[in-house]
This record gives sequence, structure tokens and C-alpha cells, in this order.
Amino acid sequence: MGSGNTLDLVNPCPPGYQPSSPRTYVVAADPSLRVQILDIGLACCSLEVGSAITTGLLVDSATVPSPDHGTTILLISGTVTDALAPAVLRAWEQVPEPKAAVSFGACANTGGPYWDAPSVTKGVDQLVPVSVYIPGCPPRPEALIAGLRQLRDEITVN
Amino acid sequence: MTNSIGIPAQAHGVIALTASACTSCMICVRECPAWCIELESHDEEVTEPGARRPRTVSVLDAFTIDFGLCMYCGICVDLCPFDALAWQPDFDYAAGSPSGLVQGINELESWGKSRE
Amino acid sequence: MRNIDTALWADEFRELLARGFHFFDFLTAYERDSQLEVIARVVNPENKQSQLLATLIDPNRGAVTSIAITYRGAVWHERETAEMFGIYFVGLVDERPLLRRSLLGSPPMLKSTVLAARMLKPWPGQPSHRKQQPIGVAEDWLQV
Repeated sequence: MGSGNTLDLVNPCPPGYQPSSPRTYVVAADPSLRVQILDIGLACCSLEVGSAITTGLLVDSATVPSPDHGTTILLISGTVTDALAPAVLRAWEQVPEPKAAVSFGACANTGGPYWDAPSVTKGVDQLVPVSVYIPGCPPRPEALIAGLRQLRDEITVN
Repeated sequence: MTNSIGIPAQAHGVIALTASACTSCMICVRECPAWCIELESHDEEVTEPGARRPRTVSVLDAFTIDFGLCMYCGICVDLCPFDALAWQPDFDYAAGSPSGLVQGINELESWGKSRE
Repeated sequence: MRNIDTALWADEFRELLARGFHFFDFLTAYERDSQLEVIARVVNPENKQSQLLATLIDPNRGAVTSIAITYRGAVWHERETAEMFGIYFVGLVDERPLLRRSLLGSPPMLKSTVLAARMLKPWPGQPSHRKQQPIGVAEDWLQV
């Protein structure tokens, strides 16, 4: 590669990086299921998460007040590259306890369509402890709700 | 397992298998861009009444789709010469581990059954 | 698509900019019959006309002059093309890779590059009684 042999990558996660604040939603069909979602939208899957909000499957918690703040969920949707991995890790570190990570879609689950790509992290569980893997490429917005219910059930059982 | 109320019937939620239609031809396995289908089979000789000589048939031993890897492109569904694979709208099969997204014959055959 | 001599590549874009093609659309590379072509498109926003240009890269030199001085938006595209195809853009000020941790090894977008993941994972389609190649791997692909 010509003289392009420098190895200093652009640090995708500079010191002082702050992920956007998590927003609190409740599942419309199940208001007891209250989640704070820090949505790291990295690819097309994040449109499905947005769709869950715009179609009313998830509603802003301000419209359904509840004293319970519940678990903060880091919802990772999309293709994570090795270059971006430190940013995902830092986002996870900054999520307040109690917390859980949900992987949404094939890319986040295993690398998915990019399973053979040299630059893609083969599953975000290499970075953070994932509690629920939601399948799909992309999963439907309804699958997000189903996955969140599954996570709630696991948290309740434990 | 089926929780597809309000979901269009033609939605690409999951890929279902009809094992009795599968001839173990391996087309789906070889064409899958994600290498997410695995199939094991063995040959058996079947002698039918009145037949001159026994016929060799492929018997399906194992068939798995890794829905963690699957990119839902539907090439396997389109290419299956025997319609053994079909889309079903089901979406509610999240798992607590990546191995939980690997589905075998029993799970793949269950999709769509409850709506029939 | 117009084919441009590699030596005239940067001059051609300077001329297009002067002729009102102010909008830089994209630049990438394409492997055609084991030869690399760099292609780029620019648009004239006034009359909506566009120009798609290509230049065949001399495999011995593996280089073309950067157009990033003319079109600043081309920097990112040239960085990506350099990183993924191993093409050297002469005069490109920013050579930092975007995605690859290391630029050692064969550029991943070349058809001759066998991706490590496809080496390490057994192809589930391999027949027991004869040798068959999976789609999307090089002809001399060998399973580790």
C-alpha cells in the first residue's frame, strides 16, 4: 500500500466522549415494562428501533409516569467495526447500574452479513455482556418489544 | 412461539423447513452467502413393492439455520427446488446466547404450524 | 463513462471544476479482469449534468494523483480506496486508515485476497466425495 503505512487510526472515541443521554420509554402494550434506551444506531437496524418509537410500540415515559426507573438497557443495533469498538465499550461503561445490553440484529449478534469482513467485530458480545440477542436482518420493531419482554422476564426471574 | 398478530403473513420473519420435502440436495447450503445453513444426511436403499431394484434415497439427519448469522436474503427459499424452505412472519425468537439462535429441524418445522 | 489516462487524471478534474462541476459525488475503485480502475463522479449543479470518469491503474505503479486538492470531499473517498484496494494516491495529505487496524497484508477488496474468516470457518457446503469451491473465494482457495 504505497507509503500509507501509518498505523495511527483516527481515535473514534476521543477523551471526554459522551454518548447521548439515554431516554426513557415504556412499552405501550405493557406499561410495567419501563426501559431507558441508549440507542447506538450504527446501521439500518436503528431505523427499526426508530420505527418502534414512531409507531407507538414504545412511548415516552413522560406520558406514562411511573416511580420505577428500572434497568437501563444499552441497545446496540447495527454494524460495529473494530475501529468503533472502543466507543461502544465506553458507552457501556457510562451506563448507570443496574444495566443490561441488548444486541439487535444480525450485525450486532455475530457480524451477520459482514461475518467475513476483516474490519467488522464479530458480535458485540466480544465487547459487552449481552443479555438478549434479537435475530433479524433487520428485526421488526415488534421483535424489539418481544426481546425487551424476554429481558424483563429474565431480570424478574433472577 | 408464534406471536405474529398484526404482522403481514408474507413478512420475512423466519425461515421454516418442511423436512419431508427436503432431498438434501445442498443447494441452500452452498448458495447461502452467510454460510449459516448446515445439513447432514445419509443414503438409504429403499425397495418398493414391485420395483426391479432398490432405490437410493437421501435421509435428512440434521438441518440447522443460524439466525444469528442469517442475513434474511431468502436466496435459500428462492432456490429450493422442492419448496422445503418458506418464509414465515414470526419474529419472537430472541435468545439469551448466540447458540440459542441456531435452530434445528424441530424448531424450523414448528414455524407456521400453529396457524395452519 | 469516460476513460482518462492516469497521467491526466488530476488535470481532467481541475478542468471539470472550472467548467462548473462543483459537486463531488464519489470516488472508488473497481477490479476489472485483474486490473484496477479508479472511478469518480462529479456533478454540475446548475444544469444537473454529471461526469463519470475512470482511469486504469498501472499495476506496476499502483498509483494515481490525488484529486483532493481540487475536490476536498474526495479525501475520505481516497483514504478508503487506498485502504481497501491498496492504491496509492499521490499528494493525498491524509493517509490515516479508516477501518483497518493495520495495513499489513493484502488489501481486503482485491479479489485475490482470501478473507481470514473464510479460511478459518469450514464451508458447510463441502461434499464428502469430491472437491467443490464455495462461491466468493479465490480459485486456489484452500481450507486451513
